[in-house]
Amino acid sequence: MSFPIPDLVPAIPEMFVLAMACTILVVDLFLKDDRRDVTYGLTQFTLFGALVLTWIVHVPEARVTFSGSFIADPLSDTLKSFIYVIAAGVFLYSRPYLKERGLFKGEYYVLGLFAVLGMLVMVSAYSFVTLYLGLELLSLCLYALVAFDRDSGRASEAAMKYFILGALASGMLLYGMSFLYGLSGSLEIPVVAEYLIANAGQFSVPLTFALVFVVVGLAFKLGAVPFHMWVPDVYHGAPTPVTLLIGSAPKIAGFAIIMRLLADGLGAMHADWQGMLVLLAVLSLAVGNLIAIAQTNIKRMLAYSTISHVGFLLLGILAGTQEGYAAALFYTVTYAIMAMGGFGMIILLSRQGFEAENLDDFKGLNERNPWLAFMMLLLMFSMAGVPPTVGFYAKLMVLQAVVQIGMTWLAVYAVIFSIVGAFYYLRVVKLMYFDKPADEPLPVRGLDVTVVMSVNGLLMVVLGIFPGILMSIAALAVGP
Amino acid sequence: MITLSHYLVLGAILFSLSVAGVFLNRKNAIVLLMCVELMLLAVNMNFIAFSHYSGDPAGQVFVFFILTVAAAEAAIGLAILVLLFRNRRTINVQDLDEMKG
Amino acid sequence: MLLAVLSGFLLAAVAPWLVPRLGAHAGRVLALLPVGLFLWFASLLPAVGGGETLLWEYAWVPGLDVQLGFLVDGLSLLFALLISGIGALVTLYAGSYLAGHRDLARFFVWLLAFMASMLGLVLSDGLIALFVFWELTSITSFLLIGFAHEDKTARQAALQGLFVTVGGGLALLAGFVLLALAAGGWSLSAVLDAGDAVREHAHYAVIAWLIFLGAFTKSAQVPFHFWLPNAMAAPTPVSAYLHSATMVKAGVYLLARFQPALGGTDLWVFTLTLVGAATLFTGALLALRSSGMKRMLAYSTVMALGTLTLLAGIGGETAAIAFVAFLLAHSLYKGALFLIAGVIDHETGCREVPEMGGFGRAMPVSFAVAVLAALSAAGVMPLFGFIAKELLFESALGLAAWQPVVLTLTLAGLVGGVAVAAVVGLRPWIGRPVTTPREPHEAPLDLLAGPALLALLGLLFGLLPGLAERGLLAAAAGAVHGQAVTPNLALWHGLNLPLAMSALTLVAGLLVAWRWDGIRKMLVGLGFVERFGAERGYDAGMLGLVRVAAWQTRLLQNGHLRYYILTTLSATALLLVYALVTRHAVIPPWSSSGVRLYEVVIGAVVLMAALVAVTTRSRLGAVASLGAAGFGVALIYVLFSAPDVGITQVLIETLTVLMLVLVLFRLPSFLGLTPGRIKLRDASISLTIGGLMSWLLLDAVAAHHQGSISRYFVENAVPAGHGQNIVNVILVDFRALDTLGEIVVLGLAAIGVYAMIKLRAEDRRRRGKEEPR
Repeated sequence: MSFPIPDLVPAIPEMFVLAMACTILVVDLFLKDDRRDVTYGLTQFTLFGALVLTWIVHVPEARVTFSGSFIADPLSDTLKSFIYVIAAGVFLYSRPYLKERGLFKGEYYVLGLFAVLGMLVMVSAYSFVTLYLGLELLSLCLYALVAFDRDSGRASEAAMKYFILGALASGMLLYGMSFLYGLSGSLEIPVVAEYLIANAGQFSVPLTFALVFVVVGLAFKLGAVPFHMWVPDVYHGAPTPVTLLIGSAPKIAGFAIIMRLLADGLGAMHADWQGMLVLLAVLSLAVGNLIAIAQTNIKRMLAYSTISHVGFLLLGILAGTQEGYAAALFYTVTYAIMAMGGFGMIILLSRQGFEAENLDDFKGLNERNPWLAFMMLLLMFSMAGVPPTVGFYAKLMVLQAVVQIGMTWLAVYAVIFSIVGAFYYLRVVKLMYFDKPADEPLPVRGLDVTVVMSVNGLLMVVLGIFPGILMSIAALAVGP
Repeated sequence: MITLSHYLVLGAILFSLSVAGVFLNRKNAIVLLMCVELMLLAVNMNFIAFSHYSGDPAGQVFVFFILTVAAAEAAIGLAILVLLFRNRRTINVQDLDEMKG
Repeated sequence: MLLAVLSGFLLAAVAPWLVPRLGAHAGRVLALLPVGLFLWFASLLPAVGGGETLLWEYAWVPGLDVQLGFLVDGLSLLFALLISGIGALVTLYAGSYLAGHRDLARFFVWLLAFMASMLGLVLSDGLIALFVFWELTSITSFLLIGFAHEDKTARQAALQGLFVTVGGGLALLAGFVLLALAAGGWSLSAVLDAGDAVREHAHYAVIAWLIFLGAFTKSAQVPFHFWLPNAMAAPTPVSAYLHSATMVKAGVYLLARFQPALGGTDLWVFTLTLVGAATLFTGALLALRSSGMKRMLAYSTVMALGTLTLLAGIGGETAAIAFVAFLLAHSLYKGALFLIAGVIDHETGCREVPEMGGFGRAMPVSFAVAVLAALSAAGVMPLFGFIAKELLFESALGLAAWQPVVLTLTLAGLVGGVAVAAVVGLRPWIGRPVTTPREPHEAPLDLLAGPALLALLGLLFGLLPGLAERGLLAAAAGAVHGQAVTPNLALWHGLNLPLAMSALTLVAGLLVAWRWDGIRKMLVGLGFVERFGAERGYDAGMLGLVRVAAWQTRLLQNGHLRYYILTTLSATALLLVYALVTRHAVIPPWSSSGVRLYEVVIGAVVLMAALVAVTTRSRLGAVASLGAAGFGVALIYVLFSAPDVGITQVLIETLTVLMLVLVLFRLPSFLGLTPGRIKLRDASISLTIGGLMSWLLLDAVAAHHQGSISRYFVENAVPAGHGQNIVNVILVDFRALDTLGEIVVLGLAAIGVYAMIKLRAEDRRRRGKEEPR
């Protein structure tokens, strides 16, 4: 009996991240507290190295390995690159915050890297096994990270809620997968897709159950209404660097599994899941935007804003066309960058004993630091979808995709709730530019953080003026 | 003869039980964790049955992975529970309502 | 062309570096750019005046097939000239007005960026580019308003203005997406060519309304008029530039622009004329009610915008000419008046009209300029305003539908307009000199150059209307009308109805101005405007939104984990029902089996018993009904020819009931822990999920029915188990291990129960002992 060794080349970036994460885990043991920057440096090096490796082993064609359970294609490589960059940004923003609060520990980076690994596996998953493993690796790391600040009651409550609901959703997703496996006889996504195409139009109750459970599981992981309950509590309760991590890069991975499972795997049942996604999108847009208005805590506000953005993302996916998928990808990436900037700003303004997480803490920012205020203004305008920021193109592409499939009412509905949503983003801008500042002095931040924040904010405008680059990347990744 | 149906029925009953447990329990967070584990077991039952009756071993391999993940999940869940108890002095599900709005 | 539009942004980018180095000359140097742009646009006049449409195109967003195209025809050139010309004057003025201000550099950044965006807006050929510049003007204007803010109302006003315009902008975006779909292209040229297709498109009404919404919010039409006066917190040059001459005209620009493609339908004419006339009237009323000079001017701007909307709605050749003439006249006189208001503020420190008087002696030049501009605003011969007003009356008289209403509102509004012009143009200058915060003195040249030039242009065009008409207005009116027009602007058209109406408004307006103090008090006394005004509507709407949000939050996000799980599960159940119902005409699997009556009866009894067991408060009742359910099940076993199982069931049931009675007898009675409503909710969710899962089970069993297990037992009972009673054989042979396990579990449970009861009893005994002490 011989075991053929699978082609390992496509998975080199993942293996590199895994090896480095283990190395860092060991190295960190031997470091004194004041040398902890080494861990940080190694982490950033890992992400950079993985980025380089991804493009070294990149080929334009899709490659499948590990007995059909792992795929490296333009979509996965593009999404992975964004994940590396955003994760690097997250670690960079977080460092001063963690240092000030005595949370600057190796665990954050190791768990963070494993979460990144989970996302990479999700992005490249081509069978239920890899998909589930990636998802769980990500989720387990995030559960642990939410409870990372061990003395915070809020954080542990949030972690408990996140854990229970997350495990429930994973269970449902798996239950759905088990029926898909039973019906098609295979765990590989393309085989399942073939089975469904061959048996299109045949009714079976287990298949319907499978579809619903899969959609519910995915909707939960993305945080679509009515499976959004965990989002505000977790965003609010977790330490801000963890919120930053949860709120940014995993959305890209979530988009990836939606693409693999719904678009590729269950593509034949598009008519069935389209209706469900319409329902979820409609609810997400309404609930997310409306409740955000009532928030006084900016982390919670951004959480609800995430929910409304998920609504938009779903609009792109439910269109079911290449344009729609490209629009959704564009939206996801844009959103991840915006969210990184938004939460990053909270970190930037906070210091020991002052979390800068209330809306009132942003009052008069323009007088205290006009540059940061301007960056926040750009981010808020981008989230509201106001040109010339990139958020506008994201919304425009999605709306176009929806109009193209003849769902005009849905586009108009989305616009109405964007207007409602504009209210709370603009309120932040108003607070920064028109209200009198409290006497809180701003913390002094290092050059690296300021530079990255500037890049982050200006990216909104640069991508907004030249959206063509990102659009062609999105179109290329989604394929013809 | 025990057929695939019987296993599916068993799996569905286990799944329903776990859902009921998650849903009706309002006192003890540990019961929640147990129910979540039960749910994974129900899934495993399905996978094993399907795998056996279709002669495809992939499903059983998947079950190994699920079992491992379930163990990790239980560990993390219990750790969070301990943390929660330390900070709040309670594991009563109904007391988990500080964060809302 | 691209450079012309972007130059403003480029200069804005270097302004922070440039301004401190230029010192006091900053305004003068920076004004060179708009002057240059003005001259360049003027050089296009001959070609455009000859009826040409110039087009520049640059590739921009290949992914969306978006071109960055610039279109220059009469209308956009008129706007471009106004923007760059008044922009030059305002930049010059601001340099002096805000001299020495701490953030002067930042001010110029936003001002120049605004100018560039405004130019982009009127010159863009692509809808996307137009929209981008549209929102850019909103943002830069917001930053300009935010530049100088003192009081709390100004802060609220800023959010209000921004929200209204940005929200309207998003509606416009949706309108554009639909419009592009209907017209089959993303450029203005394509839309203008596809007029018929658009008008007959199924979504025409939606498109028109969305575009109206964008235009109305930007151009402060009723019911969105309230944000404009509130935006007067901005420095005066900004008010003069943005809130009278340029930005607020973007809305009417849009209407005029789409008039050839979308106009002429009943919806278009009806909506625009009525909204325009209503805005005209409301603006006049509110202007007379105010006392702050800038506020009065702002409301009179609202009035003028109403007029322009009205004219865009009427359509036709005369209205098109009237539109462009009025646009030009208004920009000239209103710009001048705003700048003069700034001069008064700057040189005397006064802002409220009733507190002004007798400045004419100290500031003769300002006085002359103000009178000239006010005469044009009032529409007095021989100023350009007069010509515009004549044309307005002529167009309104040509209106077919709703003429009386529109005409009445217009007349009444214009009476107010004349009165406002008279009050603003005369009141501060004549009469007894009053004491002012600052000693009145004449303004420097930089401050006066702008208003004087604008006012003199009003006079020049009035005296020589051909000057404006030949090159520019004819082409602009042609663009609005959609085909070439031959205007014939003249001061004197003979004695006709428009002239009579003009005279009437003039006389009545002067009367109102004479009695203004009394009329103002009366109007202020009418509190209804505040109580039912649109601003209150906005505030109430916002408050309502916040309340709905708060209510929804309490409802949906109450922090209870259990509640979250509940929502998740019920949503899953709903999705399941949805999926099952929408896709398939569902035949429940249990509907076709021939059920007999006694089976139904027994089933009902079992169900009833189960229900009673769940709901009852009494322990014995619960046990008894549980027993009843068990016996019912036993009966079913008997009926389905399994008497042995039935007998076992009966025995076990009896035993259980007895044991339970014994145990429960010692326990406290049930507590009503949960209220009934929650019980009902939980029950319905449980039943839904349970039902769905049972359905899945039944389906699974039906799909894989491969013989029953009982045959195996029947066949093997005697040979393998050596027993005649199958149940016994199953229990002690085939399932021996299971039975053992069950026995162990039961035994353990019994010990546990016994221990508990014992403990409780001892506990009670101990407490009983303690009590007497």
